[in-house]
Amino acid sequence: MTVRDLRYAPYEGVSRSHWHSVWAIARNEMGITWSYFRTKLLLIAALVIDVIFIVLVFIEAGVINLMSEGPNAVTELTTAPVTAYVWLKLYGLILLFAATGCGTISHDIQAELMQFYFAKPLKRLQFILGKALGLVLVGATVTIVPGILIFGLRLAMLARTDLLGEALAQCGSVLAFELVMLVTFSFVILAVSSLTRRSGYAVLSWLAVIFIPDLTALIVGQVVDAEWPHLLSVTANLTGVFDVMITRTHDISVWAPPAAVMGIAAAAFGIVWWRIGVFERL
Amino acid sequence: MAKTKDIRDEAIIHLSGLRQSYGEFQALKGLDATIRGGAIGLLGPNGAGKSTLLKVLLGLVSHDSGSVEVLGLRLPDDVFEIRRQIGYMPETEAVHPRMTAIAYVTFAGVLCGMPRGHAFQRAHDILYHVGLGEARYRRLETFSQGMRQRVKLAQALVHGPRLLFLDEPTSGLDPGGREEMLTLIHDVRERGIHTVVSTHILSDVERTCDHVFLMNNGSIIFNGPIDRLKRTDEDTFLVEVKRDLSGFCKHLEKAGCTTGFSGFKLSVKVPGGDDGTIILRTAISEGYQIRHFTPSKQTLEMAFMELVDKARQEDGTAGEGAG
Repeated sequence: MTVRDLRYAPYEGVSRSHWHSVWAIARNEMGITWSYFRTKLLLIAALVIDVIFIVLVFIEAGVINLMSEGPNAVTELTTAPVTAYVWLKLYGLILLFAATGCGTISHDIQAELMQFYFAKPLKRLQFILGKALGLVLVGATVTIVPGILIFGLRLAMLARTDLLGEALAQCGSVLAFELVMLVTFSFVILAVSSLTRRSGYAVLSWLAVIFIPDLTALIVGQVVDAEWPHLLSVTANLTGVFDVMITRTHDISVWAPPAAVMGIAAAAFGIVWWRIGVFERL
Repeated sequence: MAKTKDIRDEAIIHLSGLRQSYGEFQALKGLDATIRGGAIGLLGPNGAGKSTLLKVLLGLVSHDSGSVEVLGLRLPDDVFEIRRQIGYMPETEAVHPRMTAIAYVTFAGVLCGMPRGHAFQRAHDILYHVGLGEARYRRLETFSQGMRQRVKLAQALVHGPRLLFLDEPTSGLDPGGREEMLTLIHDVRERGIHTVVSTHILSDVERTCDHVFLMNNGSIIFNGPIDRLKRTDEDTFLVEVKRDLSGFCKHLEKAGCTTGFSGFKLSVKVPGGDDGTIILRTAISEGYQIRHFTPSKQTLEMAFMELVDKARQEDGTAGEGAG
């Protein structure tokens, strides 16, 4: 069928605000990420971990119920399983973003899509927020969504015990931490992805951003025998934020990890802002 | 046809003292022009300033000085409203290989402010319109170059723009694909959408455009109807004879004509007031059999080269004067 068979008519329908584009970009980004086989594979792998934790929730509830009458009744919840869950989610997300997130902007650069985007009524901030929201939503499928399910189940199991308040605080801390982690990682991913047109280089940069500071912190920490080198590590700062949330204490200062995480996110945002500005004018 | 005539009268772009520099290099040197509607060919050699002008008109680059109005809206204040009313088909790849054609065109519509449902419905219509109806659920990575060009045209049209910027629309297309693309562009123009075609292929402009905007070295060297550029020289004729073209040339020069070669034909400029009979008389008297005899009509390519050469000579003269 060719153009002559149909009548072209100008569009005279309604027009939405610019901010509608943020959701459009996020949704599009999710669709593209979902189209990769490796995304589906990683989501299934993540599901296995979630199923294990669901089983652990049932076991925990059973043990608490069994011991509730005796002298060894559980009076407080341990933080160890929750910390383990958070660590697994942290590295799971690093892996997921390495597999599917690093092409978010580099694919656009490679496909020369920037002119397509910025010839539309789209602001740079909307573009960046749309891309970040897309990554947050993809990441939420392995963090916040199962977190709500697992910790919601745990709350239901512990609803009639004295431990409910503590479980609620842990649940809130985990979900808040996952959101902080998702936002921080999303901006860092956007930053490394905007620096190159090759998504392979973006993956290497992402892994370098995570693991080189980790190794540096480990080595320097051993040499100087102090806690402050952990502030060099992205993952240690993020888990530091979680420690602050759950225990209200930290080895160095309760302000240090949140400040470091905010600094990382702000620096990453700055890099993306600058790079997209360059491509906007190309 | 009446509609096409109407849109030709409308002033769609107004430039006044427009300057744009990249560091020391002046890409646009104080452009003053009013560009009329219809289909406009934006022409010029490499580095003439065409791409910079398009970027300024799209609001991607903010100009140093001067004023720009597009469809009656001022830059940079109304940049988003201008972009909403413009459709842009970039020269670059500009398609995501993992997206389907329908998702890509819908996405373009939503980015222009259309509700998703409207954009989706319209994407179907537009894809049929450009001849990709059957391929709309295929991923763009499976598309040929010609199909990609069409889908790029579809994304530029989906939100119903008043003005369309086409950057090298026939680039990389085979003759069949090129023909189809030119038909589409012609059709779009016929439906009342102003079209600015930036291209190096002059025959494409000749086929599709009403006006030509010719640039060289950051300045305008022609802005007007294409017919004015392709003028007919009333005192020049293209002539071909059966034998000894150079001998015939000498006889014509003796008769007062000025001659030159244009391909395999002889370009003959007759003395003032003559209607070409001097050529025929010379042929009869000297025993030459004429095979071809037409008034010389300047092609767009000839006019383009002539104007660019003239502009370069003037620039050179100005440069020498300044030096």
